[in-house]
Amino acid sequence: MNRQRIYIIATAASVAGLCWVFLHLHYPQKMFSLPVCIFRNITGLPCPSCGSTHSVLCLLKFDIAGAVAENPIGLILTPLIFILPPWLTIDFVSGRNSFYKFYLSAESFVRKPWVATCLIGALTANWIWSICKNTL
Amino acid sequence: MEQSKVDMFITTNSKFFESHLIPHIHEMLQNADDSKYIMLQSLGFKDPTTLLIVSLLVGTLGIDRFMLGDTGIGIGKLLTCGGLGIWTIVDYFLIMGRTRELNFEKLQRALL
Repeated sequence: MNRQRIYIIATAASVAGLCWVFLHLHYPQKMFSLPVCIFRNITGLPCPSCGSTHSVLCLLKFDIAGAVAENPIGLILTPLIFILPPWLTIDFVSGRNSFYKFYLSAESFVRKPWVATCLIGALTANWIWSICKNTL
Repeated sequence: MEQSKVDMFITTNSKFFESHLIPHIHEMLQNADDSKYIMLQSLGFKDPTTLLIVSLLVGTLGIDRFMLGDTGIGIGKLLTCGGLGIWTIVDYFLIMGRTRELNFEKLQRALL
């Protein structure tokens, strides 16, 4: 995937992430009633990342235990939401490719068989836990 | 490459590429060496229709992107409920084009 496309996707994702968190902080009742997860709407089961918004909001209140209980994926998403916008802005202003280089190296790291196996295992375990929490 | 082999390849595999690239692929194959034909037969292009079906069924989990080798984007979709559902829907329209684009890149690499 080329540099321009990665930057467009990352910018759109970081802006959407910030807006999403901002709207949840200011209009929690309206936002939490939105049925955004297609997987959950169709199957009735939570997807692997369901609950991550609650988790991010818990982390913003420094409630780490609450964030882990909601969905540990929030621990990965929260730093990304706040680090990505300034990182991308610095790259745009200075004309550097630091984010693109990081993306490529992270992608090749994740493709290593042992890393991929560990990640799939962790995500599957988290998903099973999430399903148990929401159905039992 | 022989004209009959080029025509055979185009007829069999045209659905894997963007239609506007077919004349270009035709030209590339004509200029390619005859010995590459067997290798081209074994390349194994990804079917855009299959990817669309995967995208419709499990696009929220990013499986479609993982299948194409866009691991980073796949993880992005997986960790964000398919980009809050929006990215999943956008990918319904983009995934076939991206598949054809990657098939063309694969063909180009093979013919180099």
